[in-house]
Amino acid sequence: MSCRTIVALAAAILAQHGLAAQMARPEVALPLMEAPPTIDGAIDEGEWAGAVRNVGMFSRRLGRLGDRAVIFWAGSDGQSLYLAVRSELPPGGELLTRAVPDPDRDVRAVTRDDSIELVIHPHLGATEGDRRYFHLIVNERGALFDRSFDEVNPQNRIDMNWRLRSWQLESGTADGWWDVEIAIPFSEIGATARDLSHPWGLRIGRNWQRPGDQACWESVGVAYDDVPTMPRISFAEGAPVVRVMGLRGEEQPRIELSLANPGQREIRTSVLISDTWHHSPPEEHTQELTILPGGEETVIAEPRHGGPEGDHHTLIRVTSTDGQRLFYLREFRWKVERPPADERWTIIREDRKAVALQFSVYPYHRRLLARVDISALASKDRVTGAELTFTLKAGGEPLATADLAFDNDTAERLLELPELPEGTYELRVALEGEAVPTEPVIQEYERRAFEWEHNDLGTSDIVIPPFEPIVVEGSTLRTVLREHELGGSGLWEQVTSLQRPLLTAPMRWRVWSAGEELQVAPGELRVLQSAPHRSVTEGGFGAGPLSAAVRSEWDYDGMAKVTVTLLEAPDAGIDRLSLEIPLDDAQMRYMHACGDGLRHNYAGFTPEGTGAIWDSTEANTVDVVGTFYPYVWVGGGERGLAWFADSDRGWSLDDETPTVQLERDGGTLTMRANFITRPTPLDEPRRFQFGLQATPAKPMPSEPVSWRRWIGRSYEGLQVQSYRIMGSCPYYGCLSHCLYPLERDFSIYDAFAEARRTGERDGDFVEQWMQKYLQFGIEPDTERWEYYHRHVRAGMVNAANAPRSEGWLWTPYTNPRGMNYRAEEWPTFQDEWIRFQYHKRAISGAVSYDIHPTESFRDAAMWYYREMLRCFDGIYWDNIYMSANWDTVAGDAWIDEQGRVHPSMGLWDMRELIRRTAIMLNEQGRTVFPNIPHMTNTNIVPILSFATVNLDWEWQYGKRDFQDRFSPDLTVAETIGRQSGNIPMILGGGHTPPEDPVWEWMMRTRLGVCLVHEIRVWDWRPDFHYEMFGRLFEFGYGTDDCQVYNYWDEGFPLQIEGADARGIVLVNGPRAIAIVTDYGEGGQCTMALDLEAVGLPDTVSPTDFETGEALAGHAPGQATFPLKKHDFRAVLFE
Amino acid sequence: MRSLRCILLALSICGAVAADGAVAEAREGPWDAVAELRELMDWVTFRLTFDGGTMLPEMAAGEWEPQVTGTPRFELGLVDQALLAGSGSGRAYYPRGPNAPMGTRGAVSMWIRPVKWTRVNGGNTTFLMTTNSSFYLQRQGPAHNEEGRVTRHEGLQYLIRGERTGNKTLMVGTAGWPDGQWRLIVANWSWPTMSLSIDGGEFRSVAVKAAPDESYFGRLSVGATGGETTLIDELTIYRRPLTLDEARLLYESFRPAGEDQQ
Repeated sequence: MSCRTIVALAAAILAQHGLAAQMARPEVALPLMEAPPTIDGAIDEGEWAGAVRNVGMFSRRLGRLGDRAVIFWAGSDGQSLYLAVRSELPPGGELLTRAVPDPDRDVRAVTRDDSIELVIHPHLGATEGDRRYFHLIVNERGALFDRSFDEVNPQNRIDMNWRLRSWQLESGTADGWWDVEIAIPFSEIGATARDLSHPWGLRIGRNWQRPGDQACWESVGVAYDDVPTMPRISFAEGAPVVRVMGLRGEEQPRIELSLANPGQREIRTSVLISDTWHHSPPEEHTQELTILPGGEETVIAEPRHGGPEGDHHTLIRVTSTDGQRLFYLREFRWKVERPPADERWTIIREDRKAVALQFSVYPYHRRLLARVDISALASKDRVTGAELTFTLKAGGEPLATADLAFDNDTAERLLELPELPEGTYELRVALEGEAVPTEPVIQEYERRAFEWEHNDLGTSDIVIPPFEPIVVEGSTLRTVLREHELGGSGLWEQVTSLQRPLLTAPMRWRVWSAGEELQVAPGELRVLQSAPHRSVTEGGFGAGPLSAAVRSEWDYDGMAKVTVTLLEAPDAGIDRLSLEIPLDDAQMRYMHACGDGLRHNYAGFTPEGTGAIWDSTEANTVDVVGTFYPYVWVGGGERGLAWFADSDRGWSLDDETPTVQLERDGGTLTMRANFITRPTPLDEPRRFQFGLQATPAKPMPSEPVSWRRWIGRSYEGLQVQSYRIMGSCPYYGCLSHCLYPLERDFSIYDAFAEARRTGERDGDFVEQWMQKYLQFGIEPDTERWEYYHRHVRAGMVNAANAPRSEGWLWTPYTNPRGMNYRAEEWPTFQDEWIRFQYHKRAISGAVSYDIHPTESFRDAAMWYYREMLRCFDGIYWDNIYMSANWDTVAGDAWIDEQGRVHPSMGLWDMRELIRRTAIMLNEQGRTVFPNIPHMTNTNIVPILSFATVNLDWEWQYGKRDFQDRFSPDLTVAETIGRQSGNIPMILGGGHTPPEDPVWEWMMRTRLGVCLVHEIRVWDWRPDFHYEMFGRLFEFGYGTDDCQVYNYWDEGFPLQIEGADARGIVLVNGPRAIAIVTDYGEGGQCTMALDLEAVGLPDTVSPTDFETGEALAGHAPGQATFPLKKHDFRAVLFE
Repeated sequence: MRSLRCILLALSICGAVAADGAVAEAREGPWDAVAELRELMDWVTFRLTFDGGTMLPEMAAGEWEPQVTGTPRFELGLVDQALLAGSGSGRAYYPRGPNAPMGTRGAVSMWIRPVKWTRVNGGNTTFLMTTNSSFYLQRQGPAHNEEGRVTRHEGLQYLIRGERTGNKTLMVGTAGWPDGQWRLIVANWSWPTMSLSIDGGEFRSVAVKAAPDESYFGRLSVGATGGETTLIDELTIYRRPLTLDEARLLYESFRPAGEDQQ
C-alpha cells in the first residue's frame, strides 16, 4: 500500500464520520492547581479536584466516544504538568502489558500493549526560543516510547533520542479500573513560567487492545503531530475548574458538570450544553452561573433520548458571561447505551481460541472422549462449567450431552454414543459463567461407513497347519510340540517342549502381607472349554486374606493368556505378589528381553553367575511408565519359555522393584514376575493379565518344500520355494502407508495377476494408472512423479518376474503402524487407530510408526489383504515391534493415581493381526504363504507365531564384517526363527554398494554367518551367495534325506579348534558338509567331525566344498586348514 | 531480504502520516499490516527481536531481566538484528512464569538461518531450552563413523524430556537446508500433544506420556555458546498454540522475498 493510498483512505474515513470539518477542537482554561496530586497510581477525586475532568474518549475505530469507559484529568501547579487517566479494565482484569522498559531505547512494542499516549506542546504559538513538543506512549509498567519534535527544524523535526527521564508515572488497578497518574516537571519539557501565559497543546489518548483502538480527547482523527488540531489547555487565573462528572443517567443522557472556583473572586459563567439525538432538532441547555470564591456549582442537562439506534451529538461550552473567555469546550458524538463487556472487548470472543476442545470418536466402541482445557483462558476463573453436545451437523436432537465440571482447568468426559449413521457431526462445548466466551467451540467429525466393518475374515475356528488341535486330557494340555501339565493354582506344573521338560519345579505364586510371606494354597483345576482351536482352564489360590482366580485362555500355538482376579477382601491387603517360574538352567543358555521399540533390546547369552543375575531395570524401554516390562524369553536354540504382558493395568507397582527378575540357584534359573510390589488394599477386586508361551510355537515350515529351500531365486532343476517381496506401498499404486491402491481401485492387482500369469508387462496400464496421481498434485516431469512412476513400473516388472506357474510366491509391503491421512477411513477411524489420545485431525500427510492394529484396523486390513490375494500370496508387515499406545479407550492405556498414563504395548493387537491374516489366508484356500513380519531385534514369539518368515537385521549397517555386527549368541536368541517356527531372513540393503572394494568380502562374511545360522537374505546378490546355496541344495540340503546339525544343539557332532568359529553339519547318506565361520581372529583351524555320531564311515576324506581342494586331516573326520578372520570354510567329507 | 526491509521502511514512513494512528509510526511490518497477525500479537507473552543488539526482550508478560552469559553476538537478521548462536556467542536466561506458559498451552515461533552448518560431524546448537533440560528447540548436528556412515542424523529437534512426559522428539531433517536461508519454526504444546511446523508446513505431532505442569520446567535459555553457527531472530512465545493458517501466515508475511523453501 502506498503512502498516498493510506492518506486517501484516512481522508475517506474522516469524511465518512463527518468529523474533521464539524467537530470543535477541545479547549480548556483553568487555574493552576493549589496542591499537586499524590502520584501513587490511585486516583483520588479530591486530589484531582483542581484539574479539568473529562468523560469518554473519541474512538478512532467507532468515530464517536468509545464504548469502553475512560475518565481523564489534566492540570498543573505551575511546576509540573499533572495528568491522570482512569479507564475500564477488560473482563478478567488483566491489561495487556508485555513491552519491557528500556532506558536507552524507544520501546516500540509498547504500541501493542494497553497504553497511554500523550502529545504535549508547551511552546504552542511560540515564535522564538524552544519550540519543541513531545510525544509519549507508556504502558502499565512504564515501558516508554518517546520523542520530541522541533518546529524550528523542519529539515529534521524529530529527535528520536530525546528521553523523558525525570518524571513520575504510577499505575494501579482496582475495582475494574486502571488508574494512571503522571507528573511531568516543566523542566523535562523545556517549559518555563513564561509558557503559562499561552495555551498548550495537549493530546491525551488511551490505546486500547483487544480490540485495538486509539481513543483520545479530541473528536478528530488526524496525525498525532498535527499541531492545529491539538486540544488546547490554558492556565488562567479567574477561570473555573470545569469537571464533567458524567454523561449517563439511568438509560438516559444525563450530562453533569461541576464548576468550581478555587480563586478569590467570583466567576460569572455561561454554560451551554447542546445535544442532538439522531436527526432530531438540537436541544440546548443554557445556564448562567455565578460561582462564589471557593464555591462549586453543578449543571445538569437531561436531553431527550430516542433509543440506541441514534447517536447523540453533544457540545459543552463554558464561557464567561460576556463570551469573551472560553473555559471549556468539547464536542463529541456518543451513544447512551454501552454494549455489554463481551461486545466492548474482543478478549472474550478471542479468548475462545484459548479454549482447547480435543476429542476422539471410537466408532467400534460407540464412545466419544472429549477434553476441554481452559488453562490458557483469560477468564478461566469465571468459568463455572460447560455443556458438551454431540449432534449431527445438519441438526436434530443431541446424540450425547454432558455437563462438564472443571478441575485444574480441564474437564474430560467419556460419553456413550449410539450407532452413528454416515454424516458430519458436531461436537460443541459452551462455557458457562459470567463474562466468559459464550459462543460454543465446535469441532467436526465425519462418520463414513465401510463395507469391511465388523467382518469375520480370519476369525473362523479352523486350526491351520502346521499347528495341531489343542488336546486336553485331565490336567494335561497338549499343543503342537509341547505338553503342559496344569496345576490347581492356575499355573503350569510342568511343560515339555520337543520332548524335554523345561521346569525343575512347578510354577508358583508367592504372596507377602504385613511383612511376612504367606502360605499359598492352590485351588482346583477346571477345564471350562476344550476345543481344537481354544481351551479355557481355570485354577486359583488362596493366601491369608487373598483369594485369587486364575483363568487361562489357550490358543493352539500354545499361547496362554492368563487373567488373574484378586477377589475383594475388605480391610485386608498384600505387600507383594509374584509369579515364579523355576526353569532348567541347563536349557536356558540364551535370553531375549523386549521393551517397547527396537534396536535396543537385549538378545544373547543369559548372564552368568548365581543369585540375582538380571532384572528388567537393566533393559531398555522408551515410553513405559514406571518399572513395567513386557517381554522376556529364556531358552536354548530350539526351545524355551516366554513370559509377557501388554500393560501393567491392574498391577500395583512401586517405582523401584523390577517387574521381571532372573535368579540362578544350582540347576534352576528362576524367572520371577512381580505384579504387586507395594502395600495394596484389597478393598475391590483387582484384575490383571499376562501371557505364557513355551517355545517353539510350531514346527518350521515344511510345505511345499522344507523351509531350508525357501530362497529368493529359482534354480534350474532344483526344487526350491522362490519368493519375491515388494518393499513399499507405491509399488502397488499407492501413496505411502496405504492399505489399498489409489481410489480403492483393485484393477492394478488384476493387472499384476495377469502379468504373473503371462509373464507380460502391461506398460499401458502403468501409464494409465499414473493419471490417478494427478489429483494429489503429483505432476509429470517432477521428482515425485518419477518416484511413483518408477515404483508402479517396477511393481509390474516384479509381477511378470514372479510367475505363478513356476511356483513363485510374492509378498507386498504393508505397514500396520503407518497410515496415510488420505485414506478414506482416516477421518472416521483415526482415533481408534492412532496410538495417541487426541491426535490432530489432519487431512494430508502420514504417520509411519504410530498406528496400532486395533480391532477396526484389523477388520479393514483383512478386507484389503483379501483383495491383495488377487495377485499376491502373503503379507509383509513392517514395524511389528511393541510400541506404546496412549489411548485409554481403544488402546487399553490406563491412568494411575498420579495421573500418569500407562500405555499398552500393542502386543495383543499385533499378534491378532498376524494370527487373523494367517487364518484368513487359509480360509481363502492359501495354505502356503509368505507372511513376513519385519521384526528387527524383536523376536516376540506370541506376535510372530502365526507368521512364516522372520525378517531381522535392519540394523548395524555399514562396511563392517557381519561377525562384527551381530554376535552368535544374539543371532541364536533373536534371529534364527526356531522359537516361532519361522524362516529366518535378514535384510540385504543398507550396506556399502557393490562398487566399494570391500563389498565382496563383506558379502562373504554375510554368507558365512548365514550358512551356519541357516539364514535367508532379502537380496539378489552376490551371485556367489546363491551359487553356494545352489550347491548345497544339490547336496540335498533341505530334503528329508539331509540331516542338519546346528552348533547350538546338544551333541553337536563337530569340534572346532584353532579358531573362534561356529559351525553347521549337513549329512546326506555317506557324505557330510561341515561349514565353519570364524567369529574371532581366524587361525589354523582344525575341525573334527564325529563320524560315528553322524553315521559316516571313517573312510571319508575332507575336501574344500567350494574349490575341491583336498584338505589335510590327521584323523578320520578331521580337516585342518587356515581360516581367515571372519571367513568361512565348507568342508565336504566323502 | 532487502525488499522486505523496503516494505518495512515504507510502512514506517506511511505510518507517520496515517490519519488513523498516533502510534502508527511506532509500529511497523506485517504484525500491524495483517489483521490476523495483529490479533495474534495479543497472544504474545514473550518476544525477543534482538534488535539493537540486545538480549533484553522486547516483550515479556512476566519478569524479564536477562541473565547473560558469555558475549552474545548479533548480526543482520531477518528483521534488523539477529542473535548468533554457536561459535562462542553468548546466551541469556530469563524467568519463565507467564513469559512461557509451558505448563498449559502455548507456542513458540522463531526464525533461524544456518550460517555455517557442518554436514559431516557437528555438535548440537540449542536455540531455546529450559534450564532443567526438559524443553529444547535445537538443531542436532550430524555424525558419521569412520566408514562415512551416518551414526546420527542432523535435524531440527523439538524435545520434551523427563520422567513424567517421557522423552519425546519431533525431528525434521535439515540435511537439505542450505546455509543462508531463513527457516520458520513453530512449536506448539497443548498437552499431551506437542507439534512442530517448519516454514508454515503441516504440523507433525507426538504425544507425551503425561501432561507436565509449570513446575516441570526451569527458566528459559535462549541462544547457545557452542554448536554450529546459526542466526536466531524474532523469537516469539504465545499463550496458545498457533493454527496451521497462522504458521503459514507468519511464514508468508516475513519470509525474505524470492525465497521459497517449502
